[in-house]
Amino acid sequence: MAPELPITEVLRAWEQGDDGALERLLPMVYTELRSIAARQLRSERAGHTLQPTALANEAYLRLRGLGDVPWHDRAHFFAIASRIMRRVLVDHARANLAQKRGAGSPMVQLHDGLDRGLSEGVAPAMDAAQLIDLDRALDQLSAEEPRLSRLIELRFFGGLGIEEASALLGCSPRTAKRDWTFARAWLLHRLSGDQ
Amino acid sequence: MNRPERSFERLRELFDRFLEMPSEDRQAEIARATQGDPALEAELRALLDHADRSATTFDNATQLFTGWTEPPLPVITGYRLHRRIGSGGSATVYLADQERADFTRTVALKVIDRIVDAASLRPMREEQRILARLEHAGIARLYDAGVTSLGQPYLAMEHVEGTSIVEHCRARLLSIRQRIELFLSVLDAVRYAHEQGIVHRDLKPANILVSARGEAKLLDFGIAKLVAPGDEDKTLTLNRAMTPAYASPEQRRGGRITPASDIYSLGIVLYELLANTIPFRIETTIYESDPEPPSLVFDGDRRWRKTLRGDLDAVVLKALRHDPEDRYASAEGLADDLRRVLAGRPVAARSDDRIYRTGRFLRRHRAILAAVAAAVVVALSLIPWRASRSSLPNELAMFYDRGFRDGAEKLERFDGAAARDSFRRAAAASRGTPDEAIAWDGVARAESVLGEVGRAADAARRAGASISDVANLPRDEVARMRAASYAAKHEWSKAISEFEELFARQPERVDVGVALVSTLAAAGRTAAADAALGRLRQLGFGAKGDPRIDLVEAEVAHQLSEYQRAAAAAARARASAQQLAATALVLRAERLHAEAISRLDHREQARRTLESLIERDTAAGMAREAAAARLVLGAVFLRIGTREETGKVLEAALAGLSAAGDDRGRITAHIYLALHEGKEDVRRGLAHAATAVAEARRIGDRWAEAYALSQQMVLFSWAEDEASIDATIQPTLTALRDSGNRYILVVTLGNFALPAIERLDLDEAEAYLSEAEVLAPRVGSELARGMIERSRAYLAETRGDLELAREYYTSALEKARGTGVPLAIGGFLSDMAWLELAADRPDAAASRARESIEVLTSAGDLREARELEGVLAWCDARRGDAASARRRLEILRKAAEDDDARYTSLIAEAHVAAALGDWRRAVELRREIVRMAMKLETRGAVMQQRVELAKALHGLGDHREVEKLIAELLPEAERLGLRGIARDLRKLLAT
Repeated sequence: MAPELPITEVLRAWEQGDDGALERLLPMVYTELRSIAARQLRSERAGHTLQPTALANEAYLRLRGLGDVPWHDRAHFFAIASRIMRRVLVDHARANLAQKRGAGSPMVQLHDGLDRGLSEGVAPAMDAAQLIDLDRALDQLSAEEPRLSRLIELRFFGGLGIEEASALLGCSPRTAKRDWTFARAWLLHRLSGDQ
Repeated sequence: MNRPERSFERLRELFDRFLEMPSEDRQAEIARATQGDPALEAELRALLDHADRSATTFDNATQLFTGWTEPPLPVITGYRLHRRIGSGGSATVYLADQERADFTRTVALKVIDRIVDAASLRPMREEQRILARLEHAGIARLYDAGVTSLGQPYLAMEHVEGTSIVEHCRARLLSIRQRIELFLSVLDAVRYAHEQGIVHRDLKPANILVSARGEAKLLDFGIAKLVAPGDEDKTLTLNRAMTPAYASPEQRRGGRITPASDIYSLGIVLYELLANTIPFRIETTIYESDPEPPSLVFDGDRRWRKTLRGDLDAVVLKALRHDPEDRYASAEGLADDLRRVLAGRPVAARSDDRIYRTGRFLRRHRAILAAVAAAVVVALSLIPWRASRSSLPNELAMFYDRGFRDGAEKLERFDGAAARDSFRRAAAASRGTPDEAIAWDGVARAESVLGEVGRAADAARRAGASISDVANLPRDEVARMRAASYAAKHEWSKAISEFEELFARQPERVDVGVALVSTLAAAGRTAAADAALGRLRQLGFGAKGDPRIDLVEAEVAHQLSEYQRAAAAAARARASAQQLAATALVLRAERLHAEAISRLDHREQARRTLESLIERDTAAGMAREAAAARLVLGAVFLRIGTREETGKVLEAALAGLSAAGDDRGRITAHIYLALHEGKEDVRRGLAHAATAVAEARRIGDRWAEAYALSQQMVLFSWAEDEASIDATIQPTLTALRDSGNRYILVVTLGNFALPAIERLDLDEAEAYLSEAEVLAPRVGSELARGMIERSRAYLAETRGDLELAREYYTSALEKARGTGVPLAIGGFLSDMAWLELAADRPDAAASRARESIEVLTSAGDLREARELEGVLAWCDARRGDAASARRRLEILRKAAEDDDARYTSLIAEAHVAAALGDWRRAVELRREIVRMAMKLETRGAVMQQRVELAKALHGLGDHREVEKLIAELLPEAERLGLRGIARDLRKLLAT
């Protein structure tokens, strides 16, 4: 298991405004998360797709099990984990995609996935390619307005609600809702191949 | 890069604006707004289109991406999960059916929010096996445990339907009795589990469910440990997500968990049940202070509050002690005390409070409190004087005239034993004749020489009874014998009036004068005795070398607590007696001397004398003297001896005095035993005190009765038995008033004032002191008057009137110096030293402290002397000598062996910190002191320390905190009439 104390220090540094602290955290938990991701992919459940839900769930449990880390609550955890998760997933997706480049995989319209998600009430799966596209789009969004990208990251990779996310971002929930609407529309626009 | 940004912002701005607009209206507006920028327009339209199509509620938006809000039900073999029924910080609970081959049952499945690996599983299984063995009606069964497909541990438990115990009691409006009874059933379950070696670790109302039928069941027993395998005794940090309000201080600190931790949690629950609220406001500092007693917090039905006061408060607070060692050791102990409360019997919880609640001031002056000396005054003083050597009337003439030459000669030589034997034989021989009375009188005199008061009284009674042929006997002798007989029967008024008449007729009869004095003293009329003694001396009939007057003076002076005088008189008596080779009198004088000097705190010296005395008394066959000496030694041991030797010598004294028929001695022995036993077992102490009171009443000795009552009061205060204290104050004062012994009355009033002051019942204290002051001028004892002034000083100090306090202390000190009692002198000096510290006068404080240390050290009160190092440390700090201050504090700290001493040491540190300007530390220390004060001290002390905290916060500049604290303290100070304190607080606010 990853060492306890260094994580505490990093978190404290991050809380005190050292944004780069998270980068230092990454190596500590990366191995952990990578093994989780690998296991998930190996499972029968979703073919070769990654389910952020299950992955995040498991990651969360594992990281909590690291003991003595002062996670205040889920929101706190995911503020940090969401960024890590994103990195891990995307890396894994890239590696996966590189492997499967030959076979090719069906590109499911994210938008369709969203529709299906709405009607069936299940978490939509995203395949590796989608994930990479999302990642890229988020980078673009971040260049324009970092807070919007962060919001998506927190909610998508972290599963946080509007209230929790707005608290972490330091804005009102009303603002966060408006941001979310815009950011989502913006992403959908980019990801659905409109352009 | 400017253009893309502006474009993005503009896009955003337009998006926001048009989002709310119905789509029909948008078209035209969009065109107008994006005129000249087709790209922007296209993008805007696209975004709006997406937004429209995905317009779901935002709260559920996460479902689109992650589906987090409703995670899938875990998969567990052998169970069919239905739905989630609850979730805590570290686990989720589902309702499920356990499907086995032969049956299906509904269970509650608790799935723990972590993933464990194989290595952790084994200890978990072991733990789970133990938990599964818990079978009790009050504990929800643990059926099974395992891991989910994801690797999360789960526990299958009995599904319990019910509401939390607090909710249940509230909804059903259960009475206190009913709540306690319900709680007792919970305690039974806890007791059972503890006996199996399982600690719950997470007791709280949510884990104590009560069914509709009113049966309580405990949930999650020992689960906390199961969830953290390998953590052994440490609790999980996961618990942070749960309410910390029920966790014990050691749990929160991550220390060892024991059954006492469960007791604490149960205490909180009990508190909540009784007071309708939890004992702490949830703040980060909640664990730092002990809770307010439930009865004070409870703001409901007044009848309830009355029930809560006293024992129930004590029980709850004992369960909530900070130190696990101080709590009930077991659920059974707590249950027993609760059952006692229900049955109206005394509870164990209160016995350990007694040492503390007397308050530090009283504890320091405990010696003075019991300073009312129990002089073992000889009831009869019939010691004769040798006839031949003086021109004084022959006190033994009667014996010579009636043919009792042999006995008379022995009396002349002060050979008590031989004289007794002679007169006894004579009495037997002259039975039925008028001479019998004379013979018995002879016996009485012989016993008097030997100090055998009981036997002397017996003989005197027999003499009185045998007086038959009055005409044949000298009138005055008859009167004397009758008087002696009255005294022996404790018919004091008759005895006194006879003696007085006789003495008026025969002022040259020293033996009559001495008998009068000693009878007055025995009746408790000390002032009158002293006056008579004065008259006796003035008359000057005492022959040179006559030890009797000095002997009786020693006893009277002792009763007046004028120990210097007593010691001097006893020394003179001893010298004279030695000249006369009157061994018996020498021994008696030595005892009186030892008694006096023991009170003057020359205890070691007294001890040596008394120990030798006991031997010599025994050798001389003076049994009662030996017992009396033991009694005095016992009093010395109460101060400086070990428990064992004190107990032994007091028991021996009691036995000896009882055998010797010495009533007053016996009563005094019971009183000493009460104080001795009471320190360990209040109930035994109280029994002795009760015996003393009863005996005193039986023999009509008002002085002894009053003395016994006042000491009984001390024990009631140890037992925290307020009801008894209340009930006995008035009878004690009445007895004292009746006994005509103003001295003891005045002293007792002064003593009663002190605890009242510590409790901040200032009006009550005023009443006592006023009455004492009215009586004081007629009391012969400067020490008593000094003690009243000392109490007045303390009252003024408590109110914050430091100048007034100083005046009183100075006056009290003068009087104490006059008496030469080191304990009093040193004690008053010590009080003044602390006063000058409070008044911020370092030079005065240092001088007082130094003198006090000297006096107290020589008197043997090293503890009090050491505490004064704290004052000196502060003086050093005020002069800027931090190093020296710290050295002194180190001494204090190292020597602190109990809570009391640690408390004093901390106070000294806090003063020094403030003097050195280290306000942060001062605040820290004061907070700790307040915490300890709430546990150890009385209201007065707590108030004082909180005021000091306010001053320290002010020094630190934390105005917000200062205001907050003063907002609480000021109204209370005003309400209680603490003028000086209110003034100081207002000054703090103003600056």
